[in-house]
Amino acid sequence: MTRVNSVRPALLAECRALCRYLIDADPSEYVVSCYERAWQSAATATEHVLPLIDRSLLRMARVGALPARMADAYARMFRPSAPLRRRLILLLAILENSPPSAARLNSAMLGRRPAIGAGMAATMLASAVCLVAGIMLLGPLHLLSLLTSRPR
Amino acid sequence: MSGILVVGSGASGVHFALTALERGHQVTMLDVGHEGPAPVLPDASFDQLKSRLPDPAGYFLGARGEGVVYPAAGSAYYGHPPSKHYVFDVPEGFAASATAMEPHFSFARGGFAEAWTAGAYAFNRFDLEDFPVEYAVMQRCYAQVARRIGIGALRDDLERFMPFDESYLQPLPLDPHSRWLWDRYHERRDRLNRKLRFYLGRSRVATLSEDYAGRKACSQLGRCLWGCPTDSIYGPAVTLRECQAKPQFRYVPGVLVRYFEVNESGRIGKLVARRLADGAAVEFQAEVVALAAGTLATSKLVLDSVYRRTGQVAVLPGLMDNRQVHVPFLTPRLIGRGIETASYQFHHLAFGIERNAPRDYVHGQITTLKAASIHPIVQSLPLDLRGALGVFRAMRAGLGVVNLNLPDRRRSESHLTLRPIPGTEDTELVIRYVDDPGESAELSFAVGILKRALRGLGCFVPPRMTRIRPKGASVHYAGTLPMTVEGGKGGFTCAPDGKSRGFENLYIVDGASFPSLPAKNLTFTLMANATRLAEGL
Repeated sequence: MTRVNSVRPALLAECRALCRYLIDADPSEYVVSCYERAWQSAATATEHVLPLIDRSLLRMARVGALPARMADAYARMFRPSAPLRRRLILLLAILENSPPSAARLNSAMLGRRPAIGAGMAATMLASAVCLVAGIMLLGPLHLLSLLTSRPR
Repeated sequence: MSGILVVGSGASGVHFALTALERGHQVTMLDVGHEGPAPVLPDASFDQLKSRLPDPAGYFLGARGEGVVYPAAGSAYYGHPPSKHYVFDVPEGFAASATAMEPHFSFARGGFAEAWTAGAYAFNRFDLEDFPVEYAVMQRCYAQVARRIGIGALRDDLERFMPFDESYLQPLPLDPHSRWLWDRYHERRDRLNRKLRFYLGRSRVATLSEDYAGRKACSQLGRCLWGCPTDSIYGPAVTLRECQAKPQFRYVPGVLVRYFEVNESGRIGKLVARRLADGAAVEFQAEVVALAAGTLATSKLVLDSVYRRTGQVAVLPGLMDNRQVHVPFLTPRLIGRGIETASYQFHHLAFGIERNAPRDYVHGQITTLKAASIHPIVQSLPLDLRGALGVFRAMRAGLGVVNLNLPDRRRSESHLTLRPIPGTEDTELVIRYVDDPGESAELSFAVGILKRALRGLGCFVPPRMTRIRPKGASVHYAGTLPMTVEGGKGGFTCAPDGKSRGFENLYIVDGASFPSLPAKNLTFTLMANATRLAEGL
């Protein structure tokens, strides 16, 4: 198994930030090694040639859990195949198959239906707030990205 | 008759071979024969694999993440795991291109049915209307195959659409979600039957609920999609092993049969194959040839043989495939309950939607979510992944997906032909599929009825999540060398006994010979028809 210290620091930092966003925890050494070896399957192009909006989404997601959620909410709606989404999906796939996160991610939420319903509503509200924030922060950049990439 | 060459080891090939062997024939089976990995930790459940394997993500996703399902327009709610990729690997020297279809090919030992979900539904009289076959004969062959492979079924409302046989075994115990749907259906059955002509029953599956014929009963490990480690889910490789135990059987893997050579009298003299290990040409003398390589590969073999003999590029009209639609649903009443990932993963329930013309029957299977790859589902929810994970876990015990199948008919616009590859002796199979102009309306009608039926069962169907799968996804290909009662000599059809009208000692024993394609999974009929043809040798 690849050790953490062989991982490029930028990839490690990205994996850590995205993992904190997805499951509120740092990735294990195993998760990082899986992310490193499978990362190419999620990569669409070298980062510096990506459109401005995709670079911005990645940069924002690396800052912390809350900005990552805003960036992800925006990407889900307006850039569903963006590199950020692909990397998040790769990491989620690794986490659902790696202990100890596998047990939590593969379980159902137990409880009374009204309580779970209220929890679901709160989750969706939080997602909606993040989406609005994401639109405010990333919408102008996306517009700029579209304008600058338009052929003249 | 003594020496029979069978090409292909899929559902048709192995049952043809076994029946021929039981009648005293010598059989040689030529096959590419890609093999899958040996099952890992055969006693471990889905969850245990994740804690006991040294590299669980490598097992479930592939070393380089090749099993990860990324977002794409209309992407599926599940993908084939790395442990099943061998089923769809194409060997060097086999080329194909397609229009309006996304075809798959299988050169695996056991063929496509090594990655099926075990649905085994006998065609009824209406389904077999175009088949020039006595229904009683087919019924007997279905029963014979059922005794070989073990099919779990119940006498229920599905009997209206598919005959029941006394040889069927008890079905598997229902999981809690399927049980809930089953009970609800029986509370509202009259209304669903009368108003929607929707009939629910237990899936008929070739998965063992009890030890049978040397195979173990399903041990509810929840890892069906990754490959049953106990052979409780039937695969043709089981019957291949049965053939291999017989002294008059010879299995030759590692060869891709490319064409046959025909002598002056119209008989096939030999098969020419490419040995995959070194690319060398190898020849097999033929007395009788049975093509069971799957509709597409069988058709290519016939087209290539004609092209080499005459220089003519022929066209085989009538390619068929079932349209499949995935309809996810939620049963709100189950929210808050637990799930048992260590349980049979595939469908327990199947349904039929009756139409005015019986051959327009629509078939479907209901899979409730137990053990699963969750990232393809979570990413499809219209939320950020963090939120989607929370919502998914909250809804999980009530989630399920319906796989709806529509029938198809032979139409001349959908066809197969060849394109010679310049500078080589090789050719490319050219597949052209044209949608039935009436399909769209049929699809809307069937999905509409299904949604109303699901609502009647207390389920919620989320908007904009129904996925119409591309043609080719069902891998129920058929119809390019059909059985007909009459046909001119030299035509690309075969007689009711499977004997080609173009080549005297050639039998078409796979789906290529089907003259029509009902909505039900065709695999059981492939096996029964192949058995029938071998009985007639």
